[in-house]
Amino acid sequence: MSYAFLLLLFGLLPLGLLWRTAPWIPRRHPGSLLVIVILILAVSVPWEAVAVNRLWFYSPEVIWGPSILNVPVEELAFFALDGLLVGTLAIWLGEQYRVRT
Amino acid sequence: MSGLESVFRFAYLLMELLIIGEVAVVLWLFHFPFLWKRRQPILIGTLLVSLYALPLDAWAVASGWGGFNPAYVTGVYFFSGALLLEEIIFWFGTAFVTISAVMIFAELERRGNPWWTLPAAVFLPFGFFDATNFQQATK
Repeated sequence: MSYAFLLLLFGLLPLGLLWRTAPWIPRRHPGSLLVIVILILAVSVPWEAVAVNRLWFYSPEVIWGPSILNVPVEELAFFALDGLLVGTLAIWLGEQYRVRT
Repeated sequence: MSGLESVFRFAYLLMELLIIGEVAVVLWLFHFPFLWKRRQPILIGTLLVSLYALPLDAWAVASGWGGFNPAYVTGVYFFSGALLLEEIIFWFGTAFVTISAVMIFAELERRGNPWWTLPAAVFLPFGFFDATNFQQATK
């Protein structure tokens, strides 16, 4: 298994299922999801650029190889997926709270 | 181990405190009443995300997918050496900050504010957005 497959299985697939179950989330809140991904990338990329191969490393056997600013493309995809997945959960939880109160 | 080497061992932890901690403090400082009312869904979400991601993280490290430079981490590991303390803090911290931020963004979006104004909500209170004509400007 590769890092990309792990992202597909535990990131993209649950995100697709969540958006299929609650299509109103990306429809009503595209701005919130877009902005959180931009902010996460803006904060994480400089952090990762410094940390990769210094603080931590990825085995070359599980990553494809291409990187941007020293950050493997899978890691960039991870940050985007993480923002979308956690952001979707946050909007859903926030809506449950709004309906309840 | 020299004094400088012991300081370097906290590099990852310090990065987390500076980046995640700083954003969390700013978000909660400017939106305390709004976020405090939603503390329950924020904590539930943080717990769900961490419980989902941490076993995957531990499994990936245990399988040799990556690792940490012992010179820059505390060396405090859990679950037979697969889960580093800093990784636990990373998942709990980033989930907490992301959920808090998105709840604020979604509320502003619900009130009709355009998406490009949302990043300012990290350090500007709701009152600022209500006092401007962003909502009217987009209608």
